[in-house]
Amino acid sequence: MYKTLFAALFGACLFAQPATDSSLIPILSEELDRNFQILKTKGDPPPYFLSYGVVEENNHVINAVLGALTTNNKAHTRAVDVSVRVGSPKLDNYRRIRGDWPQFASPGIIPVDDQPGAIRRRLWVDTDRTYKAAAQRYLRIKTDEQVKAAQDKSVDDFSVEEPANYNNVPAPLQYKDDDWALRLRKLSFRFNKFPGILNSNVSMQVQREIRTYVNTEGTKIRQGRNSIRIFILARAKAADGMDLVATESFEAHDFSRLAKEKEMEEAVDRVGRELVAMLKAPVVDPFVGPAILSGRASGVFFHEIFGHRIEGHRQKDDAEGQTFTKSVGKPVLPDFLSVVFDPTIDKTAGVDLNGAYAYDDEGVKGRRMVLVENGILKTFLLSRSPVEGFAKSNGHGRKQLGGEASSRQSNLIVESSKAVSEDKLRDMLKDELKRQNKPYGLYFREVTGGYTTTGRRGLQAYTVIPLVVFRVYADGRPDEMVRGADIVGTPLTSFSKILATSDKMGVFNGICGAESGSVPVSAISPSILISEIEVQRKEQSRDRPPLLSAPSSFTAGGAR
Amino acid sequence: MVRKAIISSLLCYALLAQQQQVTDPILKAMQAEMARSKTLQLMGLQPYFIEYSAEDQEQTVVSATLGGITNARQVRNRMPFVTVRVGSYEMDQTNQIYSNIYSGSRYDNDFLPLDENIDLMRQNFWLATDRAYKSAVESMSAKQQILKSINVTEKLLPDNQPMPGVVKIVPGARNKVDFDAWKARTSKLSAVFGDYPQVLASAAEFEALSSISYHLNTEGTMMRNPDYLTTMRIRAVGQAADGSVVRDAAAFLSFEDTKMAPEAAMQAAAKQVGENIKALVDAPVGESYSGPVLFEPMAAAQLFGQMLGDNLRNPRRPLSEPGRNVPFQPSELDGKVGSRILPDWFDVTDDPTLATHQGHALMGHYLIDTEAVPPKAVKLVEKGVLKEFLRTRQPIKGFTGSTGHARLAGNFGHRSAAIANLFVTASAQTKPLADLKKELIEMCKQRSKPYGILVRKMDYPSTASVGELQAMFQSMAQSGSTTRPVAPLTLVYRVYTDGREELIRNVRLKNVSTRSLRDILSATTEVAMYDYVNNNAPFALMGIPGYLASTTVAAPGVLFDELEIDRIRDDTAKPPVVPPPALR
Repeated sequence: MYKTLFAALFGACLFAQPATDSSLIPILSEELDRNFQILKTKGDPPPYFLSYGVVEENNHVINAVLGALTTNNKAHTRAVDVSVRVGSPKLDNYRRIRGDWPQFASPGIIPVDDQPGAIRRRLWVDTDRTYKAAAQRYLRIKTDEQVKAAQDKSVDDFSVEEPANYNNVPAPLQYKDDDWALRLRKLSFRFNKFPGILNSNVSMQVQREIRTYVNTEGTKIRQGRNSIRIFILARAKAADGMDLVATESFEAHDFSRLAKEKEMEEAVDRVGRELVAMLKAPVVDPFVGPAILSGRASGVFFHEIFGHRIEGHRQKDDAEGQTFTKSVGKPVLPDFLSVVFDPTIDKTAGVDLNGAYAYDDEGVKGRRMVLVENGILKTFLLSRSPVEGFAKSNGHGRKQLGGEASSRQSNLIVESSKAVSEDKLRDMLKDELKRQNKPYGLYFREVTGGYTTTGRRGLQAYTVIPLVVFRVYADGRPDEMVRGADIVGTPLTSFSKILATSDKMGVFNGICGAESGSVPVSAISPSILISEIEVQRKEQSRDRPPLLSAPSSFTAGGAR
Repeated sequence: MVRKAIISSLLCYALLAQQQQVTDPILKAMQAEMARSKTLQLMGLQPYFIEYSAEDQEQTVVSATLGGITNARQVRNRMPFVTVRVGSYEMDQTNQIYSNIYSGSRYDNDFLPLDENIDLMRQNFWLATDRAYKSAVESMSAKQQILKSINVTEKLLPDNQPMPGVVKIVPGARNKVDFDAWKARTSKLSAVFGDYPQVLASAAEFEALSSISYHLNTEGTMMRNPDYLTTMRIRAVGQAADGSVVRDAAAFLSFEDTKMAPEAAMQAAAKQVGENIKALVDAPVGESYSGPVLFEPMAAAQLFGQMLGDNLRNPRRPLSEPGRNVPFQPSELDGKVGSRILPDWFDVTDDPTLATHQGHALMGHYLIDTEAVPPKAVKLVEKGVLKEFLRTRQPIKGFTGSTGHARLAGNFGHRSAAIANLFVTASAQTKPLADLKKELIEMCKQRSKPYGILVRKMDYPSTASVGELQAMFQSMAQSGSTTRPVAPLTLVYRVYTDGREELIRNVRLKNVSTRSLRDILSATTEVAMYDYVNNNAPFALMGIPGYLASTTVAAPGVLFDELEIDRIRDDTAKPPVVPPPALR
C-alpha cells in the first residue's frame, strides 16, 4: 500500500465554499483580548502587542496532459499565525542581531468551520508557545552587548499605526468543473502536433483566499482575494542535452476577465512552436553588448535588481549589502525613470495584477508609493519595522502563512519620460550596435523569473532566466532565436546603462520568495534598451534525449 | 546460467502474456512499453529485469479536533513506479551506496492520466523507463569504480534473484468510501475531548486508501489486485504541572471502511484516551528502576512488533569506497541464525497468507508483496532459536529466494522486508495475567523491592511529531543507553507488594534490545492481537506517507527478569501562563 503526501494545493474540497459572513473575527478578538489581558498582568516580561492572522484557502487544481486529466483536486484549509511582541516598540523581541531572522510563527491548523471551542484552544496553545519564545528572545536581546551599545542611536523595532477596520470578501467564483476539465483537455491536446516536446501540460488553479487579522491595537481586517491562473508549459531536450522550456500564463481575478479560449489556444500553439524552434536554435555565445528587454522581461529585471534592494528591512541590517541605504535624495536610476509600488491598483493594460491588496499582513493600508522620482530615490518599501528617517509603515509588510512579515514588493511600475515606440526602440538598438561595432544585439522576449543576492558577504549580483531570446542583427537580417542564455550582472552598473524605454507596458505576474515567504507580486514595465548587458551560457544537463523513440501513436517525442 | 535465466524468463513472459487476455488500459500500456524497453542499450549494458507497477488510488482523509473539521479531502490519482536493472542477477547496479544516482533531467510525470488514455500512459512509462535505465547505467559505472577501489576478500553475493512469474487478475473495483458519513463520525469522535480540559491538543484522523495495484515484470508476472486500507487514529496530548508532555492514542484498522469497528467502540476508545490523559497529567513522576518488568499482552505485542519487526529482516551492507561513512544500520540479529534469541519455549512465525485468526481479521494478510512475490509463512524462531530472516529479492547470506515480505521502501536499490502477521507463541511457562502479576509481586518481595513495574501500553506506533522524535533520540543518546532507541512508554504502573497499581509518567526503557528477550521468565495465557500500520519511519510514526504495511502482532504478555527503566530528565516548558479557554 502506498500513500502520497499532498501539499495543501492538491487536496479535495468538501465544503462548497467558505461562508462569506464569518463569526471568526469575534472568536479571534475574544481570545486575543483574554490572552493579552492575562499575559499583561501575569507575563514576565509582559507583552505589549498581540496579533492573530488567519489564512483560509480554497484551492482547486486541474492539470491536463496531451488531452487527458492527471489531476483534479480541491482543498480547503485554514491556519493561524500568532505574533507576540514583548518589550516596547523601541526594543522588542523582533530586533535583529548579527543578521539573524527572528522566527516565532508556526502555523496552527484550525477547523474550516467556525467551531469556537476548537479554534480557541489552538489560539490559546499557540499564543502561549509564541509568547514564551518571544519573552525568551527578548531577555536574550536585552543582555546582548552589541544591542546595549547601539541602543541609544538605534531605530525602533515597531512603528505606531492607527487601528484599521475593513471587511471586504468578494463572492466565490462561479464555474463548472467539468467545462474546465474539458477545456484543459482540449488545450493540452494541441501539444500533440509538435514533434520533440517531451513533457507538456496545461493547468488551472482557482484560488480563493481569505485573510483575517486582528491585533491588540483594535485592528480588525477581513479581506478576500479570488484568483484564476492558467499555466501552459512545455519542455524538451535538445540533441546536445540542453533542457528547454517554454511557458505562457493567464491570470485574472474573475472568469469574466480571463482570456478567451481562442487566445489560450493561440498561446498553446505559440509555446509549442517556439519550443520546437528552440530545439533547432543555436546555443548562445557568451555576449556583452546592447539588448532590448521586453516589458515583461524588464519588469523581472527591475523586481530583482532594484525591488529587492529597496526593501526597508535590508537598510537596517549590517549583514546586508545596503546598496541604497545612504542614497535617499540621490540619483539611483537614469533621470527619465521613475519607479512606483502600488498595491491599490488591481489591473493595468487589461491584465489583473497579482500584487494588489487593500491591507498588508500587518493590518496597514496598502499605499501607492513613489520610490524613485525622475531617477532620485525618495523612500523605501516599509513594513512596521521602521528605518532611519522613516518611522511609519507604507503598507508593504507582507508574509506567507508561517512567515514573519517584512517589507516586500507589491505592484512594481516602471514609468518613463523617455518613451519611444517599440519600433523606434529597435532602431535605437541597431544604432547602438553600429556605434559599438557589434554584429548583433539581443532581444529578451520572455523570462521565467530570476534571483538576486543582497547579502554583504555574497556577491551583489543577480540572475534573470530568459526563456525566449533572439539575436537582432545590425545588418537587417531577420531575428534569430538562440537558446541557453542567462543574464548576469551587478546591479549598479546595469542601471546606468539603460538608454531609453518604449511606450508599451508589459505585465509580469509572479510569486516572489524571500525571508517572509512567498507573496504574489506584479512587475509592470515598458521595454528597455540597455547599452550593455552580459549573457552567459546556462549550465547544461549532459544526459541524452530519450534513447527509444516515442510510442508510435505520438508524433511527439524522441530525438531519433 | 544467468543468460539462461534471462532467456527463459523472457520466453515465460511471452507465453503468459499470450495466455492472458489483457483489457485493462494500465496493463496494456505497461505491456507495450515493457516490450520496447528490453531493447535499450547503452555502454554495452542492457536491462535484464524491468518492473512496472502502478497504484490507481483514491485517498479519503478526514481530520477533526473538538468537533471542528480541519481537513477533509478525497484525492484521486494514478501513481506509476518503474524499476530497471542492468547487468545480470549476479551483478547489477544495486547494493552499493550510489544505487539510485541520476544526474540527468526528468521528463516523466508523477501521475498517469485519470482518463483511460493508453497512448499517454505509454508516453509516461516510456520516459520513466528511459530515466530509470539511464540511472541504472550511471549507477553501474559508479559501482565499477567502487569495486576497483576496494579489496574484495570474499565472493560477492548475487545482487538479485529470479522469482517465478505470477499471473493473477483479481477482479473488483475500488471500494467507494462513504465520505459524508466519515466526516460526521470523525467530527463526532473528536468532540469527545470536549469533556477533557486536561487535553491540550487532540485529533481524530480518518484515512481510507482504496487502490487497484498493477504489476508487470520481465519474469512474466502480471497482476491486478484491489488493495484497501482504512484507519482511524485518535490522539491527544496533555501537560503535567511540571511541564512534561503526556500523550496517548488509539487506532482502529480494517481493509474496507465498511469493516471498521463500530462507532461505539471508537467512542469508547476516545474516552479512554481522554481518561488516560487525565490520569497521566496528575500521575507522579517515576524514578529510575532496575528489576522485574511485566508487559501486559498489548504492550508485549507492541514491544515484539518493534524489536522483532525491525530486526527479523537483514538488509545488506552496501558496497562503498573505503573509509566512507555508510548510512546503514544492520539487524541486531545479524549473524545470530542458529543462536538462541528467546527462551526455548518460544516460537515466532510470520504468516501473511492467513486472513483471520480466532475470528480476528489479520491486517498483515496480502496476496503479493511490492515485488509481486506471493508471501510464504516463515518459521522465524523455533524453540527460541533464530532460523530465518524475512526476505525480499535481495539475496542475503545463507538463504535463497524471497519470502514475499518486500513491503516497505528500502535502500540501495532494494525494498525492505517487514513483518505482516507475526505470531509470537509461548508453549510453556504460561499462566493467566493475574498469576503473572502475582509472580511479579513475589519477585519484588524476594528482592526486597517496594514495587515492580507493569507496562500496559507503549507509544508504538508513536504519535510524536518529527521534531519531538528527534529530541527524544537525542535525549536517549545522552542518557547513556547503549542500545538503539525503543518506543516510549505510555501507560506504566508501579505494582506494590500489596497488589496496588500506581500510574507513573516520565519514564522510558533503557538498554533494552533484542538481547533482553532472552530474559523473559514467563508469559501470559492471554494473547493480544495488535493491529497497526508499519512504515519506514522510526517507531512507525503515525500518519507518515510512503509505503505502508498493515500489520498484526499476536503475542502473550511477558515477564522480564530484569529490565532497566530510566527517569526522563529533559527540560520541559512551563504550563501555559493563561488558563485554558472554554471548550465549547
